[in-house]
Amino acid sequence: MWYHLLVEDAQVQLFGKMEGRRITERRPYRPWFYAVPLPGEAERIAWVLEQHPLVAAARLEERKPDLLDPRVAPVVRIETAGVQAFPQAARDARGLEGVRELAETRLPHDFKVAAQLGLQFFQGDEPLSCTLLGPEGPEDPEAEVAVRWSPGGSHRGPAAASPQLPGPLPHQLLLDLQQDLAHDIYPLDYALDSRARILLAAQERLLRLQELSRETGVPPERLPFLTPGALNTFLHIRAAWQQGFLIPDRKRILEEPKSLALLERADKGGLIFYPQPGLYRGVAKCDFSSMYPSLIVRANISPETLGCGCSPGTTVPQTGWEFCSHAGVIPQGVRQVLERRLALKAALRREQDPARRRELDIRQRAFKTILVCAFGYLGYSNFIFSRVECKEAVMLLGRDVLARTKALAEARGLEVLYGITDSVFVQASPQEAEAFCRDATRELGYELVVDAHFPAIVFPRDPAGAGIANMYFGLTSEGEIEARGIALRHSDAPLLTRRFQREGIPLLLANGARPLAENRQQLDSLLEEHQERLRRGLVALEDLVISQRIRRPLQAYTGRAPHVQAFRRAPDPARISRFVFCQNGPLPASQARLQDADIPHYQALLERAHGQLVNALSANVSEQHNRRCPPSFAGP
Amino acid sequence: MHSPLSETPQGYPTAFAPASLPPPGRIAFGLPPLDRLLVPNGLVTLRCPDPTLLFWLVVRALVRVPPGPPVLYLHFLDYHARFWTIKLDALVRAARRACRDPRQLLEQVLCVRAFSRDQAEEEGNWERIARIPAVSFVVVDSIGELYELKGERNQVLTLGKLNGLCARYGCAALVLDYSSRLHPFLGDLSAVILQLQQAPGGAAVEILKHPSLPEGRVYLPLAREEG
Repeated sequence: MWYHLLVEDAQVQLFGKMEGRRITERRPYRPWFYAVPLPGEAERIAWVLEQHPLVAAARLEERKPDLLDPRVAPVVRIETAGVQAFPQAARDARGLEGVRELAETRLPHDFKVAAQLGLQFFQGDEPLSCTLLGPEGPEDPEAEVAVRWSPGGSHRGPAAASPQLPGPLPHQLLLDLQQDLAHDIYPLDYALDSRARILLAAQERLLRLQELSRETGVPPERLPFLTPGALNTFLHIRAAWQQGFLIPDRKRILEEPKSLALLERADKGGLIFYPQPGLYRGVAKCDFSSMYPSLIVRANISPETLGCGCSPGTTVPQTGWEFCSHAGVIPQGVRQVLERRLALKAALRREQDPARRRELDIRQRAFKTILVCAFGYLGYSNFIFSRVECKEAVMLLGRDVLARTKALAEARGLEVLYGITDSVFVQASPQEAEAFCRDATRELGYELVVDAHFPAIVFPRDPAGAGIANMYFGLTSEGEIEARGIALRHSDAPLLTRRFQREGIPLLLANGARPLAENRQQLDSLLEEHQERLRRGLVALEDLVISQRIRRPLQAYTGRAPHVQAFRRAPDPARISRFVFCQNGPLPASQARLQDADIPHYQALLERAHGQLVNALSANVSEQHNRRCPPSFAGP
Repeated sequence: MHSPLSETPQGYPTAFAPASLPPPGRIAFGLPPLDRLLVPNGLVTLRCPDPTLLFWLVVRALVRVPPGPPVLYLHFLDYHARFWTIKLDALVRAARRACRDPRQLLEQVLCVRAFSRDQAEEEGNWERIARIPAVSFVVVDSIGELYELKGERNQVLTLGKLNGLCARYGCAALVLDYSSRLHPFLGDLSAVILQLQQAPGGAAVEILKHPSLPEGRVYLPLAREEG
């Protein structure tokens, strides 16, 4: 099993493990790129570059230089003497007459050599041992993985803030828990306050590394520092190579001018069925598993399959666009990741052992953001394979699927209370919901599963009395709170209001047998209790702290936003403004005192948090919402 | 998806008689004091810090374009928001008031969304524009966004391309400029530069540059119509 590689000038050093022993190999590497010639110029260009002192070899190949054209064409593969020679050779080739463009000059060498050698990282079950990097170097020189974590270091702080530690040994894969981008994506749910926890965090990061490196081909040492979007790019570069395409240095897929009429039909987001505000009992939330990635795979949505015409495929509603059925680059990349993730999720559902469940969960979550990017990047113009019509097509097909789902539910007599993009909330018993999901999956061809049952759920209203997308709160049949859009879910809401809602929601919803008016009274009492504690100063200062990220350069803020005012007084390298509203204005949390806090402001926040919970409830909640709720489903 | 260009400004007419269409190739807002200041060819730069006023004028011009060659709408506003800052419902309402078929009008406005910063994409987009056989007029929304996208060194070339576009199609381009400072390249290349400002009961239009009229100020009454 290979776990690490080092690129030197004209060779690569590979490190692996087999039957418990470390193995090392050196293999030659001649960095390469391609020149795409103008018609009739290929042989001349190959001959000219062959004479170049920094070029080891230049030869003709038949490849597909244009993603939108499936035909092969002669291109020139240029192999340089080494990594040092590569930039100059590429510059000289770019300036050569007869060269239309270059390809693959911008790809990192380790990624290219891994592909060239057909390296499969982390194949097999050899466990890797981890060691901490101390001031004198790795504590265990024989370990395969060296973990960097500075004492007192923070996930959010830059590495420069902590003392410089020596690097790992050549055969060691470096895991820098401070710089690792995974911590932004999957924050740890435990503090790294002991050696054991640091090593545990490293082992869990390794799980993510293993999954992503296997699927994307990105070497493990590079992977932790890549965003999900970059990983998505590498995933599809590999898929494009498998289909014989070159990766151009510059994107050549552009959007055609469109009439406003076509834009109006095509450029829509996900479908939303707005809820009627109110309290509902006996509601099932049904989600499509990875709907957009599944659409991409099933409808074969890729820039080169749109309008190809080689074979009948999928027609997109509203636009008439057609995608052929010849496997596209994007579906190929998405399919392998999607299948792996769905298999892990299925194993997770079956698994009972907590430790194994945690491992499977970490592994499947490694792919979540790549799959999100696989859709989003279709419309991101800096993605080499993006084509905005593909993104629009995914959304249009998704709207169609959701509309058909609603129709199927209603044909069965189930009321759809709310729907958004890839999920529907139906008023149904658990058994009815499961049966509906099974039948919908069979009918539509996309997996629909029951994500949660709500004995009680509330859809708040806006000031005009209408329902709001992405705002609800409820108690699941396991007694857990699930909420969207209210203060409880806002990271910039103070603990004061979040705690109030966390305590208040069960009071309001838990006891379905009691009249709602009584539950409401309990909630009102809770509000009064919180207000009283606030008035009397019986809260901690930390409960009043509001955290907001400073996302732009300070000079770009021209208004007097409170979080910016506070940040200017006490800048934080992590660019998080933690502040308290005080009588004289917002103050950084480090400078504020409880006695100076602007109590009326926080009282108003509490009132607002209370209002979010009750604004959809009327004094006489109609029992019509209960009509489909069987007695056994009255509440947890 | 709120657009700063979406709302009909307070005090502006909300209805008007069926539009009498200008001659082909001429832009008209249906506001004679302003229409007299327009030219049939070249860059007509409209400067105003209020995007709603400028978009309101653009909508008036769009509903008055005769059926025929498309209007080319170069939409550089808010690159990552792409299309949604054009408020379609305002355009549709204006079309209905002008007794135009909204569907036909939407088909007649050809939108090119923001070019990326990548040189290849910019060149490719200009090539695509060049393949359009005929154009009624051009809207550049907005020139300030274009500066932000392109950076200083590309502005001359890009403004020159816009001018060339007008020459090739024999039409004018409405260049919307919300910035506080008139860029010298734009000042040089524009045939007409008008500075608009909201005023009581209407708008003040200052003529900064015109091929045949002296610098000066024109008052544009914009009384709200009854009903």
